[in-house]
Amino acid sequence: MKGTERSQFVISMLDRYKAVTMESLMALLPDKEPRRYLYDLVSLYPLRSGKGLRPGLCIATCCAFGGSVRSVLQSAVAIELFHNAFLVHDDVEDGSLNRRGHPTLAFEYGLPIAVNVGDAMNVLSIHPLMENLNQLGPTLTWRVFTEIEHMVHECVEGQAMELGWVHDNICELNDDSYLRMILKKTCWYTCIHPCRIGALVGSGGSVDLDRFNRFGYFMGAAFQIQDDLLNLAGEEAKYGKEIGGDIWEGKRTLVLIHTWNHCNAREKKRLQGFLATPRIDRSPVDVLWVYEIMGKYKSMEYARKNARQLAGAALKEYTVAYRDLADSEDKRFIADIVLYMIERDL
Amino acid sequence: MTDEKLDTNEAASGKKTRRARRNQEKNPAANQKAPQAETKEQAAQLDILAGIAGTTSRIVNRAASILEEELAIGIGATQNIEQKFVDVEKVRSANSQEVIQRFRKDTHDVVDILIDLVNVATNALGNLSDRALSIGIKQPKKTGGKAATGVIPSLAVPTVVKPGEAVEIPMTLENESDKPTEAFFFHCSDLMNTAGERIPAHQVTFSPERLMIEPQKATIVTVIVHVPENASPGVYSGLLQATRMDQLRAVLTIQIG
Repeated sequence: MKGTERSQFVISMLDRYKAVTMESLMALLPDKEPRRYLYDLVSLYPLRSGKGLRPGLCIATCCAFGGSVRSVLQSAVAIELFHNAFLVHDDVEDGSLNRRGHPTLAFEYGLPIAVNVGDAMNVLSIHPLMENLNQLGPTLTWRVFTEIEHMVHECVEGQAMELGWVHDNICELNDDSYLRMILKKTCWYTCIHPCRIGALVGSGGSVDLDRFNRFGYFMGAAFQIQDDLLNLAGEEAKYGKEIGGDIWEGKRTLVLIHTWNHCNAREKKRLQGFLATPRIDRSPVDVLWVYEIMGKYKSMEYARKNARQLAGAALKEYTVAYRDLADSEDKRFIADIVLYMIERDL
Repeated sequence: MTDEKLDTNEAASGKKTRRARRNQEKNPAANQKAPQAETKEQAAQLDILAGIAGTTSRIVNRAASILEEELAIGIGATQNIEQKFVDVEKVRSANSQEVIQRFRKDTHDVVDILIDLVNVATNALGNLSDRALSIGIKQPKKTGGKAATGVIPSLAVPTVVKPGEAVEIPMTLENESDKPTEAFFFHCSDLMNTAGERIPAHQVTFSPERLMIEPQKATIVTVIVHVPENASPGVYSGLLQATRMDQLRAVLTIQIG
């Protein structure tokens, strides 16, 4: 299969998983007051076009293991709602201005309303997990719940690590620091748990879920590094966030960490001063300077190479995690989405 | 080179990973099919992979190590939590009712204790296979001999008794004090139904008639109700009262059909 065919296949499958998830998700949202500052806003982020990677991985894995879309749909909806709640709060925490091509909730409606909408989305995520009881019975429902509990726990701990680095202006970081942070902040909830939950439901609880840990981690890490690179180099219309937003926010990406560990003493001093400056006081000149020294030390290339290697390792782990399964579109989607990530022009 | 690096090197070169081996040990059926390229397409994909990660990258090694570290931390923490709150294996293998019971027990011990008390009471009164009632005799209070107050135990006959029959109801009496009781016997009032019809007190007898209980010991006294031939159907109640002990009394209820 050629790269373009693969891209089309992956995108069409993502669209299919997303459509069924969104239909169920929208049906879950209350049609009642208070609308203007709560329920009308709860649907804003989910309706903005994300890729739907998380529900896609969850549903595809469930189906690959012999389960039905219906059996895992409530879990996929819960994961997607939690994800969107994280995004709303993430934008508050980072002071971001744009999300998926539109103003962030915090920027458009202010912090108090944005925080409350994020809270509501977290609360609404609980309901589909309760609905699982009718579909899956008590044992699987409980196991899905424990997966979700771990997922959310890891995510907030990872977020705390990253926020702490920015708050305390921690600069002496290395690749290990970054890898640990994104495992906790991103990988568990973006890839590992969606796959684990999908397999749990699809197999009726008979599969050892640890087989997905490496696959999900390597894939999630590649995905996150790719995301960081797109933030630096992508087209705003395509990517939907501010270009260089991570530099403005002082985010400790793999790119920035590489630059920090390679620049000279004078550059390090200036970079440390830049990172210590509150976001609102940072100047476009300084942001451009950071971007330039990243280029000078080929930090983007370094991150790109690592993303590809992690994606390659994820593909290798795919043959372990999804072994012994009958061929299906869903199984092929899982392998192809990894290859799709490798082949994409980062 | 650490074990983890060796492990990941093997993964990149297409050999079995340690996790795969572990999985295969857990699942012997999987031994028949080692994780390897199943189709030409997958083989082609692995060729792409070989180009990308031909020499095992440092970042993949580090990621694998960090994952193992985090899993070790997480497993330890999870085990602590699970041991503290929930017997997960029991929860996972239990049926619906057990899961709910377990959850309730883990979160609401106080409620459970109350429920247990209700159950004990229900069992004592509803499941009268031995039709026994326990009545404790506690240390005499130094309050000037004022009559004890509170809920009076109920002694109900679970079956419908026909006129002319006799029914026996064992009643357990326990002396919780560290002194023997004085010798005592029971009185019974007339039993009366809602229409005011009566079964005379002398129709209710006790065996033994006279008794004394050693400290920290229990004994059984049997209440015998002789239902008169001409008794009308209905529910009759009366009060049993021990001599010398205000607190030792119970309401006797019998249904005549």
